[in-house]
Amino acid sequence: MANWAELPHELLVLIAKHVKVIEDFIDFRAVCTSWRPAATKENFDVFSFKVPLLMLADKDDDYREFYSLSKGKVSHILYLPEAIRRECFPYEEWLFTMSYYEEFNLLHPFSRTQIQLLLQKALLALQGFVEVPKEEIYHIIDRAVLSVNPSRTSDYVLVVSYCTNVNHLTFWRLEILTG
Amino acid sequence: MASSTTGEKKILTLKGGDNEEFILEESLVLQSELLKNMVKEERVSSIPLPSIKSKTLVKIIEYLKKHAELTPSNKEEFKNFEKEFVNVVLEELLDITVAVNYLKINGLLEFCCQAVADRIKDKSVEAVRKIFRIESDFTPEEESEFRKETPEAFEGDLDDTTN
Repeated sequence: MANWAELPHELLVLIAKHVKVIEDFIDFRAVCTSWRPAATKENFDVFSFKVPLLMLADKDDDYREFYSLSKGKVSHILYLPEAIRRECFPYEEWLFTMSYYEEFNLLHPFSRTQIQLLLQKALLALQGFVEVPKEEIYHIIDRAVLSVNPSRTSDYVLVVSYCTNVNHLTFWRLEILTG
Repeated sequence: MASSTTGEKKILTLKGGDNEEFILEESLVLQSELLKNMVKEERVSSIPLPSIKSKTLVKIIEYLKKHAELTPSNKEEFKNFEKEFVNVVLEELLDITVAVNYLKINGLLEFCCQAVADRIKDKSVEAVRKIFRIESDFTPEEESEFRKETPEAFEGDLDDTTN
């Protein structure tokens, strides 16, 4: 007679891997001695169906707060000087960050890994400028989207929608830029 | 012994735990990795499955037939069938999941495991133990220690491992 506490370990692992909510996963671990080793931290898929964190606005210091919609409160306060006074556009766990007079970057807020895009100069060159024109904000980026998560592959494309006098779309791929 | 044939279709007999026999086309059982290997290597025409109740075997054969008829046009119908398939009391879901795991019917196994995981959703440890009929076998010390685990502890690890 089969019994839920006596299932083969590999079957319990398979079941545990389908438990997608962290609170349920922790309960799963606390049921009995045979279930506990099936639900290890390695078996929890942290990127599955997680309610996203909301990154709160810049407070003019080196920290950024992240609001958890599932918990209804600020759940993470990260030391993130790379994001200070920069606009951020999210893509999965990455951020495209920009300021008007500095280079644009991709930033992974949890590890603080940063990828410099070398996009600023190229964008200027497309418009016939050598350096950022003083006195005026020469372009406004209103959207930046990645084709795939840079954690998985370096072969991704960044699409930036920006406005000078007319709207433009720019596609960026490892130093190959087309306007 | 060679498989018996009717026209071009090979026929195979599965014997459930209570010796009830099920006769079906061999092509259907190829969805099971275990049976596929048995059929290919030993050229058998009858396979005893003493650990699987006939009632469970009936359900699984029903699934194999539906799955074999799956086409892009009846996808929705199949999804509804799958939902109904696991909409059974927990004891029955247990028998089915164990049998499907043994038979290695991979698509259905994933679906059964999801169905089991769904039964755990939003329930306390006590509720899970009650509906799954599991007695805690932790020591009182372990019991109180494990109840103190928090999502933050897991997420803390996440922060360190996403480099």
